[in-house]
Amino acid sequence: MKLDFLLQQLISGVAIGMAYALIAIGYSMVYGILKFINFGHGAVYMTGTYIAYFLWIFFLERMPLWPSFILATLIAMVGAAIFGVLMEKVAYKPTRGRSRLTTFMSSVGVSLLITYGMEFLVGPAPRRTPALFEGVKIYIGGAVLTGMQVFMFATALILLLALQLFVTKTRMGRAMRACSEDLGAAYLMGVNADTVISVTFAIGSALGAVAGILVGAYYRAVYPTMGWIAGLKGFICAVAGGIGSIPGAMLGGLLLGMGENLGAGLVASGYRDAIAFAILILVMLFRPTGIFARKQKSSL
Amino acid sequence: MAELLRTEAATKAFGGLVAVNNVDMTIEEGQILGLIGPNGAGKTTLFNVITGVYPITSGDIYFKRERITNQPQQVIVRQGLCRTFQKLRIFKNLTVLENVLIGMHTQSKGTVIDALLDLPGTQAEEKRVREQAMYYMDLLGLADKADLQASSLPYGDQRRVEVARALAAEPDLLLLDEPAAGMNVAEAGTLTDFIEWIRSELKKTIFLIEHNMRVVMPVADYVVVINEGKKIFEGTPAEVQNSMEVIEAYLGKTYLERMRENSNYA
Amino acid sequence: MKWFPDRIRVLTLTLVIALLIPIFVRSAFVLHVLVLLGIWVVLTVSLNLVTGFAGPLALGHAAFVTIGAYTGALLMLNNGWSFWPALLVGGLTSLLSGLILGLMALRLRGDYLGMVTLGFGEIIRVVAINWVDLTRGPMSLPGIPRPVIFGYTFKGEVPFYFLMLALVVFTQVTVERLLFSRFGRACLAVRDDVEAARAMGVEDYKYKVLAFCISSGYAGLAGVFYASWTTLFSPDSFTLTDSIMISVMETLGGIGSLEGIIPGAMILGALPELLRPFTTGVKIASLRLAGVGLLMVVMLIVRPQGIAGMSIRKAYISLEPVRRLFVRDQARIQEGP
Repeated sequence: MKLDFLLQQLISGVAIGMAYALIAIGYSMVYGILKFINFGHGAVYMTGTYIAYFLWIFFLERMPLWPSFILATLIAMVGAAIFGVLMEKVAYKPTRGRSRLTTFMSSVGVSLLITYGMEFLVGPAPRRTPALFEGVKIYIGGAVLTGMQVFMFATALILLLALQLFVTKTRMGRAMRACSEDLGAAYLMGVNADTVISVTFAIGSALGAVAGILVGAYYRAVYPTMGWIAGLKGFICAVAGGIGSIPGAMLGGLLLGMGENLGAGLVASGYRDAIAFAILILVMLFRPTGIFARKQKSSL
Repeated sequence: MAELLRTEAATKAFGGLVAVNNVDMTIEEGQILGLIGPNGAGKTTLFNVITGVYPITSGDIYFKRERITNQPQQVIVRQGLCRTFQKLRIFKNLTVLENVLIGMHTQSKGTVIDALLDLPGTQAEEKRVREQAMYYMDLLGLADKADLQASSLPYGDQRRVEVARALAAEPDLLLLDEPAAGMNVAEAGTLTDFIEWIRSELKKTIFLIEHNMRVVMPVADYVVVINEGKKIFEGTPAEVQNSMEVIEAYLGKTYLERMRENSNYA
Repeated sequence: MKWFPDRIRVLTLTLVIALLIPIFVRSAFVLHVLVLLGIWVVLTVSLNLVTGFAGPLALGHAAFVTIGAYTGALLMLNNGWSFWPALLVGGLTSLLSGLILGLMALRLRGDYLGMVTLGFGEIIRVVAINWVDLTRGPMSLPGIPRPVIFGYTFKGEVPFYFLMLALVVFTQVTVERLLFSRFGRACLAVRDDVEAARAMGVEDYKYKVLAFCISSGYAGLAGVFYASWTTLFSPDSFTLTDSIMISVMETLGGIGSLEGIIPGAMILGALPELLRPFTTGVKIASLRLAGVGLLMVVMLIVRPQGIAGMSIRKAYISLEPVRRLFVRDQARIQEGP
């Protein structure tokens, strides 16, 4: 009986972990180039989710379930990308020359503004999302694997692989990698830093939107403050896996997803978030550069 | 004369770049030792390794015959070794007095509890500390500027704050990193006298990095020449002068000519 | 240094006004707001010790308020302790928690430090909600008693207001004592230029940790006061957004002492409270927080100095002259000929 329980926790952990990984990417990429923690990423994630949600509901009246979902998600990705780029241009670019602290605090402000602005507009009550995989289940021993979990895993995996390909094989991807190695040198080599930064934010935000609507469909709810905790967890994954690294974000996501589920299963489900943060503190203490550490900076 | 500071095969590498390469040198108590060499030779890096700012790659440092290699800066200061910085690092947002008071940090007592309770003992200590600080400020001609914010002072005065602060730590060995930077002839002359005064009146040993030959040559007892991280010559100022040929081989004619121009103090 | 006499005048004037307020203001509601204001002020002033290396990033400070509040409240409710020892132990518990967090977090750089303190804050909040046996979780702790001294209970708004004022004055005086000492100078040096501080023998990590846990101790004291005032405490009483508010007040106020903080605290803390009877609750809460966010972004873009900038420093330029005035000064140095 115990084994089934563990297996169940692991399954849920892996599924949600992949969603976390998609969020983590946003932090990782931005940090890799601009060297600051974009606290506003969670808010963008939430915004993207709401765009997807409202569109989905709107399309549902005219189209079947799946086409409306896919269309809504695609449009939301674009919307989130635009929103993320705007956010960067308005709130971060002006502080670019100054300390990381300043930009970080600005991102905290942005996060507040967007989160509570949204709460003001749509109200704090969670809204119910439609079900995607009603009743689709596979039984593995005593544990259940739902269709939604498989879908979440598969979608995230495909997107992450696509991103990895993009970053390694395309010109823009190379430019992004160059910028995260040494922004100044890349600039001198003719790379348009502003464009690269915009693309980075766009991709991170778009992936965040997908993560959000997946999570929303998984838990059957969206609410304005969902970006708060999800964003923080995405950050934890990015750090644990090695900030600046795509495989690291995925590893971090899996680690956090499984870790917090196991912990929550062992202690009590309400402590899930606390366990996630405890993992953060442990990582900071013992391996602050993460598992796939890209750069060894002398003082973290 | 007792040995005060000694480096043994001191080496500092940053990845592939060897900034300090196998440097052996000794400073004796009461000496004024000058460290000269072209820009980028590794002089400040050597200072940084000695004072614990950079971890050493290999080799050892001995202060007062005790091994201080890789000890943290704060510990080294307490043992009697204090430095100034080439690019001024005074506390810009604090007053001159506060800067010097912080210099006195290792020479004073006072914990959090003392601060909260503000007992007569603590107040007496504060008074003593402040009087000492005033003494050092006076020495550097800063007494009337005590309550001015350090960043509001002209560059020359800021340099003086840095020196006053270092003196306040009451070191046995004072490391001065290009104290004459930005000074004119008259100021450089005063500085030379002042360095000598610190040695004879305050009984300190001085280790001095300097480009300005007008300052180093008259006042140094002994000079060490560094180029590209390696020690290429050492001797009295006169010997260094006379072995210009050796130096030229390493440093090139242009540097040599400039040195000759600058050192026409005789 | 001609502006320092103004500072003394401003502070004294503020104190006098504060003492006279209850005579002219009868509204229980306004007094309530002022008491809350006092809490914010205590939190922000105590945070000054830490500004520059951790102030704007003390995003978990609400946790210390919560810890102190629960400790004090539980001691009073479950163990029948009186307010004053509970206050002391509450403060100490927060101080110890601050010590633990500080030891772990203060080796980290800027934004990472912020995230870790934030994480800590969230852990505490989650624990408070879930450890129902101890804290009654979301059902909160009701019936927290008011302070009693020599048989007199601080029941009404006016008496508690004066008590709050006493706490504020206590905080201001003790924090100033701390800052105007060898300890304080070391903290300021670390704030200003860490490398230079180290080069002068200051053990920066030690001072950062000390300053941090002291400021968390004050937060604990504020927490116990708050719990006793509202007679109710729940895990949501002080949350992450409150931590952020404190840090914003700190930055807005700029100057690290009362005359700078009061406008900041008032705008952010009191105004929404004052508006509360005129608008529906939830909408105002969202708007206020969104407004704080906007304010932060605008401020950070427009203020060229950044966060731990010049204006925070201004109050401490006058360390020496003010000290000579505030404290009986035998250290009058004869400035020579």
